[in-house]
Amino acid sequence: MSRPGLIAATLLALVMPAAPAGAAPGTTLEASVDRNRLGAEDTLVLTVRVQGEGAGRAGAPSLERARDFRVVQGPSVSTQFQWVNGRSFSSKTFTYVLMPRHEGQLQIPALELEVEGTALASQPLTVEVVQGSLGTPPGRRPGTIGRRSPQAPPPIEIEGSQVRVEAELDRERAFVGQQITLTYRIYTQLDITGLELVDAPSYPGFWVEDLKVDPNPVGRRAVRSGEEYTEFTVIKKALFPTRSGRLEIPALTFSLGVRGGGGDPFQGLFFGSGQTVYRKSPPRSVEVEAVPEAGRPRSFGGAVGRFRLTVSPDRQESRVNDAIVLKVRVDGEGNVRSVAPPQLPALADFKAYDPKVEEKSSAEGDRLKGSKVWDFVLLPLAPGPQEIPPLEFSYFDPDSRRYQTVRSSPVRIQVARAAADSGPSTADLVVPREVKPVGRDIHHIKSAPARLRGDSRPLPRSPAFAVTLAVPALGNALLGLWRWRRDRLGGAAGAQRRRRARQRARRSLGRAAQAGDGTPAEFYDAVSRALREYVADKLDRSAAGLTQGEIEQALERAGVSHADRARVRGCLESCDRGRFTPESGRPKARLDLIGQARAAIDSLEGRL
Amino acid sequence: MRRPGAALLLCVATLAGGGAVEDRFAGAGHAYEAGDFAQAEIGYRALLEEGARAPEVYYNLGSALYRQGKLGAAILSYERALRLDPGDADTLHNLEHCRQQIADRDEPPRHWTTLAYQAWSRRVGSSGEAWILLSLYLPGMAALGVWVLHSGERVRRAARFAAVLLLTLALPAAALVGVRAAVESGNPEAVVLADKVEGRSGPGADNAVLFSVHEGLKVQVRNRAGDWVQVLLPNGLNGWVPDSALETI
Repeated sequence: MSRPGLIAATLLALVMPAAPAGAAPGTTLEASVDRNRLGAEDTLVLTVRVQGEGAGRAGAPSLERARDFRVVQGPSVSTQFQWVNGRSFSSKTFTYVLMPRHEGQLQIPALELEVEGTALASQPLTVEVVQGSLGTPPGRRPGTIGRRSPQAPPPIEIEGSQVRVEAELDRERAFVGQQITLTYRIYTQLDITGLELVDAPSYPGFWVEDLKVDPNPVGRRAVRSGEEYTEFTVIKKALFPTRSGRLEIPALTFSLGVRGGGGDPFQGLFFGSGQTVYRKSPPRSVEVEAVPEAGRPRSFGGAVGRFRLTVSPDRQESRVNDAIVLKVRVDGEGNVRSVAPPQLPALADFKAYDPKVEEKSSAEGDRLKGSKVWDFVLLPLAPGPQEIPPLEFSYFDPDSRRYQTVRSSPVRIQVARAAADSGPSTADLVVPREVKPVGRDIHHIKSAPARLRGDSRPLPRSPAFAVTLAVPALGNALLGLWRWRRDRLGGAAGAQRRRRARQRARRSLGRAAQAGDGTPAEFYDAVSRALREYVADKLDRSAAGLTQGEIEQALERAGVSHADRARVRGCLESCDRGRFTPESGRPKARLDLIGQARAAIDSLEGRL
Repeated sequence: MRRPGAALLLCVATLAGGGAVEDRFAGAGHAYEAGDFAQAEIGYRALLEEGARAPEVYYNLGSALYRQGKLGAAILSYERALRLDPGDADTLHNLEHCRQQIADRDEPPRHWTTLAYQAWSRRVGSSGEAWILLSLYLPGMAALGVWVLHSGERVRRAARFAAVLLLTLALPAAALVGVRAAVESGNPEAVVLADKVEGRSGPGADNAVLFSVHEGLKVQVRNRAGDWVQVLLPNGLNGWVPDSALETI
């Protein structure tokens, strides 16, 4: 290389910044804190430094994982370049002011950063956080980053007790819905130049309303722990518990600008001596009790405090289908925003629409007061004098620990028929409506029954029922048994009679044949009787009154052939003839008849 | 115009002095109407202890209990009134009114056969079923007796036909009476009287909690073991609860 070229190259290397390049392996990430022990109301300074080639292009590390701290200031960034032996080295420093969220051994986890594609990580840091404030570390203004410049006035040494914040409650026990006034006061021995809330206040379990405080509060003298302070009331809130149990009011962190009270006023005037300190209010808790169940009126809708009820119509005369507005107003001391509307009674002759609601609240002293107005639009449906029954509103008075019920006066509306000029469809229009129940309850008790004493058991459980079932069954069983025995015995006699019928008949016929010298009437009568008794024996019935016609029918039913029936009939007719005609009583004729009768009996035997 | 003071004096005197059952029933009613529901409860309970177990007494006792906020006891009393007079519209209404206020859903039956049986039960009841059975059974048995005794063929034939017809018709009525008696004696029903009671997997406080039921729910009693009873809920769950937490209807 020529000499001029060498000079030019040297100048270029001195003038040009380091060319962009990937992060060298020597690039490092370091994190450090200015103190390892601090109070919960103190701050610490976290310094994160990236060194090496490419450090100038590093972005700010994320502190999302440092959940035990909140960032109250930062990051502020400073960058440095160095030329060493013709090579450029850079470092970038990110500075944060952190405030611990709680006490204990807290950790700032390893911070991660990616520089030119290379992942870097710092070492984790541990700090001890104790209650209250330990003051400001030497050489640092509280709540500020970096060390003071030579021109700045010396920092004030602020002790933790010189500035404090208190959260005061007007009561530590309350009912659900009862107002608790929470007041934040600053007690300071220094001048306060500014006030900010570090984070938005949160009160889980409470309905919160802000109470007014003087935006330019005037301090007043107060003594705390034997020391004199100036007291400022900075925030007031009305808290209304929404549930029972022990409810916590978390600490609230304030950022306070302070100025040394005993310093040189000129110094503060020209150089400014303001510093920032952070203070937390102590966490508080409230024991909240549910409103009692006993004696709770039906119209209680959760209102707690002291209220009045006013009900008024916009007018007292109207027409059918001409709407009126019923204004229901509840006002008093308590949280009116959570007050439910009084139940409008069921109005058969009005159609009620959902009300328009208007509410106002304001603080009177430290107590929240307000009013809530419901405008019910009511459409008269029937003409005549109408009455809106009294409305009822109940609230719980926490001072007397009792429920109170207020009632409005009844509202009377004179409703005329619809105007004739309001149109043919609406004039005198009364729409028949179904009668609807307006309430529910049990039916009334009964008057004396006809019979109070005696067995009121259901019939199936009565012994008489079982007896009533058993007796007829038993009786019929006994009757059946008796009948069976009778049939059994009666059947045997009949069978015997049937068996012996032929024998008896032959014997009777034999006796008739032997009595040949008897009168014809006696002979024929004996033959006729023998035949009839034979048939009667076979049929197991009495021979008395057994006519020839009945014999004929019985034989026919028994399936006896016509010829056999004719033979029997012939015998019987011969007997009837012989009894009244003497010539037919000759011996031969008698013997023939005996023979015919025997033949007839033989022919019937086996068929009957 | 009501005169609660005079009515109260009258009823207290009646209740304290004994007297006819009807007078004391009326006295308890006066106490109820005067708003002294506790005194009315005492009066009705005394009547029941004396054996005046009429449905009206149970009904009025249920109303006096309801007015005092004793929902479970009121439901129990109405259920007992319903057992004696299943078709009483007032009792059915009040029972339904009470059931709408209990914390646990008393699952209504969905199957039409169950609904039909319930409607039949409300209209007829066990006594009605028994009367139907008797009105068929007794004439049937009488006809059977005629058939057994009479010798005339035509009369016997007619008696036999009547007996078969009537006794056949009596069979379903007998089945209803029998099934109801078996169900009521086999699975008695009870009402939860405690505000809240936990159903456990076994008879004892050491067993796992399966469910919790509240005052007024009607359950079936399935089993007993010492001071614990196994109950079946309307939705089919079953578990063991302390005997003292409920009372059988």
